Amino acid sequence: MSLEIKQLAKRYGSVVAIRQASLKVNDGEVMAILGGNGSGKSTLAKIIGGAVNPSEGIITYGTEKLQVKSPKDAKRKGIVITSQELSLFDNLSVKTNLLMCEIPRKFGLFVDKNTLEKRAEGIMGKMGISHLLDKPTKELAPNEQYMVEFAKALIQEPKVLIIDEITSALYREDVEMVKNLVAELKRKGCMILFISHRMSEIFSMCDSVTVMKNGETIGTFGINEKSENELLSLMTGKDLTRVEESEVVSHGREDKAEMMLSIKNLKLQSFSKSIDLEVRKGEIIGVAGLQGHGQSDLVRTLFGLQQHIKINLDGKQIDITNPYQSVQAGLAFISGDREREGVYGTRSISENLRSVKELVTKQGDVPEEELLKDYGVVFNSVNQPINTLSGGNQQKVVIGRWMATEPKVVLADDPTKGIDVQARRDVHRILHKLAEKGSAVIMVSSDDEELVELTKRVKLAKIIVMYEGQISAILKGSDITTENIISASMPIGV
Amino acid sequence: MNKGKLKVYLPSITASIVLLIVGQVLSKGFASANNIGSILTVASVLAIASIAQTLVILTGNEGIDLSVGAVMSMGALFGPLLAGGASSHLPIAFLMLAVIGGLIGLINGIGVQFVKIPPLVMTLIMVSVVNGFSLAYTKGQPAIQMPPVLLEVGAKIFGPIRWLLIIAVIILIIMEVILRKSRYGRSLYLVGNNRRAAEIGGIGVNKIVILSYVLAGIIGIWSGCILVGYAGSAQLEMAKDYTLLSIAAVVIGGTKLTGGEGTLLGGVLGAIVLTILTSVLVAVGMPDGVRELIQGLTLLVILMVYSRAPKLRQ
Amino acid sequence: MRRLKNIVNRSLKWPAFPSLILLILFFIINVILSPGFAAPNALAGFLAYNVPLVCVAIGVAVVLLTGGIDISLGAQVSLVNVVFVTLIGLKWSFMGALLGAVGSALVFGAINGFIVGFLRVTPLLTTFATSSIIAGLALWIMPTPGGMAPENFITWYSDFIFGIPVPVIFVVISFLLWVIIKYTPLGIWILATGKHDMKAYVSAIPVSWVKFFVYVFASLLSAIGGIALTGSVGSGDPLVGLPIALNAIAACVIGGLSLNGGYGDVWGSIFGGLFLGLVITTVLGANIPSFYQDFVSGIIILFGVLGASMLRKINLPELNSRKPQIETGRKPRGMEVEKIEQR
Repeated sequence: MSLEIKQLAKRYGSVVAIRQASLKVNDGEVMAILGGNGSGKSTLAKIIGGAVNPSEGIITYGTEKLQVKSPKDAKRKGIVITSQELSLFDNLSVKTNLLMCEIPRKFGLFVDKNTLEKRAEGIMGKMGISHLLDKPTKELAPNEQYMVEFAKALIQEPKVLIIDEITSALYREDVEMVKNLVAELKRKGCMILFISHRMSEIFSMCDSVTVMKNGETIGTFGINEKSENELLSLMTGKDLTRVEESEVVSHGREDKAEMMLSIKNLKLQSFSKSIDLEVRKGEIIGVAGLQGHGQSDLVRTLFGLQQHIKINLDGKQIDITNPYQSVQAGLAFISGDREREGVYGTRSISENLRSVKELVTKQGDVPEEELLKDYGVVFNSVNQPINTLSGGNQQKVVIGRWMATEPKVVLADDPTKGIDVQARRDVHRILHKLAEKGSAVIMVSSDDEELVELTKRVKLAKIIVMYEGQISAILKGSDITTENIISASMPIGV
Repeated sequence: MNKGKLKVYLPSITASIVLLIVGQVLSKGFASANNIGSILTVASVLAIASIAQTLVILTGNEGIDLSVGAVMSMGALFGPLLAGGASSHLPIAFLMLAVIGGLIGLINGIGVQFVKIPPLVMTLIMVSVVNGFSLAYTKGQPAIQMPPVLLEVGAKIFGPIRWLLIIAVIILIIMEVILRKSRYGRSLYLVGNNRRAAEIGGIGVNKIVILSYVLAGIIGIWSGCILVGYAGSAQLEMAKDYTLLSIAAVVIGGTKLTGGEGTLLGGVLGAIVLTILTSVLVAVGMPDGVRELIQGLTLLVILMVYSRAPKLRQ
Repeated sequence: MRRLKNIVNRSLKWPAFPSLILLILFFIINVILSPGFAAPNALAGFLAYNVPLVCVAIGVAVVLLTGGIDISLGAQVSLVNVVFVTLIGLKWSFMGALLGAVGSALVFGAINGFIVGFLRVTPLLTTFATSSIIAGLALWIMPTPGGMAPENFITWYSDFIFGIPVPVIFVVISFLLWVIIKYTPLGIWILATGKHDMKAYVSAIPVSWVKFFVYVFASLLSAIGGIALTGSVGSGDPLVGLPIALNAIAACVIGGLSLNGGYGDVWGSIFGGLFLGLVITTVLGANIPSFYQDFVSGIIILFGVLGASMLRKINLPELNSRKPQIETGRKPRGMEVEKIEQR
């Protein structure tokens, strides 16, 4: 049997999520799908899993044409998707969550609690995580949630399993476990689509790899056909095979620069240890670490989104309890979750751009046309709704909203999530410019390479790596490499 | 204003014209200048109520004010009462009404913003408190002397135009300017459009939302007082229908129930459509129950057309 | 001793617990104020009057668990009452009238469920609109109060069976209906849908049908409540059920059910409903002039809901933050030793 996708496309109105995707997987094959953010991997996974309706294209499974009407329909056909967007319900027990998709019944009507518990215990025991069985779901740590999510998929005995980025939140030993389970499924003849960013996992687990870029599948290759760098070049369209020895500017001595922001003994919510942080004028600080180790909490706390804090900003001691105060004090916050925390979707570009400077800090007019041109935003009229722009341009408008106020410190939580390479560079350029003028930038990113790139060409920069709510390493100068970030963000397998 | 915005008003304008024609067919003289004048006068009260409703609906997060009708009823009772039947005391009465209406709005706003009670539930509870208060105060027998000036709101100025219409237009213009130009108004659209983003953008969300409920309370209670001037006599809960009608009017006018999008003018046009509809129903002689049924049905159809959540399967 | 502590801990976490305490407290107050209240006949009278509210509250509770709301149930109670009495007046048999009345409510439950579940219109406004339609219909069928319920039904309703007041049976049936659902997969689906309907959909749960079902279920319970109300009032009145719409929701909120869905126990709606009934009885018993009663009970409901909501905010702070908790069991790599610093 094989699963074949031909000329699949998905459009949301005028926005194209998948332009053209084709691939073929066979029984017992583990295929990696590799691609940058926004390349359409997750949408592809959702289409196969039945949650998203394709605009065009054919999927064939074995000999027959496959039409998935709903996730339920997909599950009936043995297609199971386990994704980074967790599907656990924290108001239900772990056991119930595991069996959510096919609740065992007795008398054809009632929930068969005994069978449910037995099956839940069986799979969790096999994965070596039985200790999680009786834990309330909402108390599971992020890595544990992903393991339960994976167990939930396994219990359905899939014929086609799609693993969407769940390993990025796992610890090393958990990843080993996932590897073994995948190998077992493979022996049973299950076909697996493995979506991940991590090259090492792809090379150790997969038989083949399909590369996606800008909503298109570039091609499928045997795992030994291409080197890591070759794959990266295909994915980004940049020639990375000739490794450019980065021209690292020697970072200036930080004690010469004046202090911009300092905070002592900051205890992040739901972590037990505390953090000291000092930021100089003109400094760019990259914050790295595995998902859920407090990076985003750090910038959010500094902006007053989580708790009452006292900070020393530009020589003044101030209290911050809410964003209103932090904006008045000269802080800015750029969220990577544009839709939820950034843009006013149906309002005009102009309104979006003016929202902070005119309505909150009351500093007067915003030179909108000038600003938009400088950032390279393509637009027809400042009165068009912002959601008619591309994601990258929307984010630039959001950033412009803050830059207009000339903030002292910019806090950014993965601001380039899901935007293209060019827009990402523009964002970096804007931040660099701001730092040159003497402001400070603290930016979280889930992409280690991005942080290296961001801090490379700046006078004053460092990367802090977080683990369990603490700073586990501070990297400066030539120590700033993705390898060092990764090794500091993952615990050694104790 | 660009074309896209005008398109929002098209359904209500079309509906008004169609209903007028239907009315003319069913009963002669329905579309006469005189009758249209009186329809517009009746629509004025609903229009003012819909302005109050729009302010709350614009706040988003399921913002809605079900206490509009009760607050209006209260204004209808207490306006004349506070003036003591004397026209010279009317300004003071209006001032005191503003305090009462504002207070009701304030409680609504606090319940919604700080205690996090869903607006629908909060304002629904407020209905029974407000109505209960009116009943307790008047002991069920509203014997009220009307200040003569108040009765003048229904008087004609020239042709079929009456004072009430002028008042409504003035309120509409003032509020529209506030919404478009003031810091409050502009922030309100942003808060309603994306509350989380507004919070992060440093906008005082609580202030904006609570202010909207307060303004809705004040405008609502005043419109009740104006209503009683037009009606000539007060009854308990006389304006309770206005809650449902004001919501329907706002939705017909193209304001999104999810907030952050819409205009006051839209609500006013919606009010005109609904008033013509009611007039047609009255002209045909429908009983009370059927009228309520048709109003509900109208709202339901509007909801099904305009206000659906994204599909589960995209 | 440890077991006792366990029980105490678990009941403190039980969402319905505060309302149970409130109920017991108010019951005691009532008995102290008027000692005759605890007599079987007085209690039965109290129940006869408040059972409709409790039945509807159970229905609303199930809707709330899915993250929806139904404010048309009060109007449905009126409709059931009016249809039942009218059909009896038209010389229908008792069973025929009963089925006709229950059926009329179920039709509107299905309409609510279809519009909310399949067309995905917001439940608040959908049921607000249908409430107006149903109330209008009730008013159309019976413009002024009147008619009579069968006399033997009225006497049966205020009677006892095996020492149990008949109204209690109405509540027991309503609650048992829920219990049956609770132990089927539907019970799990309802909680999952209430937590997050998109996630539920991805987990192969028939979300639209689940929503459809709960509105029909709520209508069934409001029909049971409407029949009980008819037994209690004895005649038809097109406006009789209206206050129940709000009171039932208030009862659920007081009973610890979350209006955001997914949290709470249906027991809470029973406690909350009985509590509200007791409060109103207390107000009546305190010799407050009738003009003030609406206002006083409105204020009490306001404070009940405010109090319950604030209590929830204190008790369940995690409801306000979406952040998962982090286990801090494992040590990070030796921070002092391996801290990479530029010299």
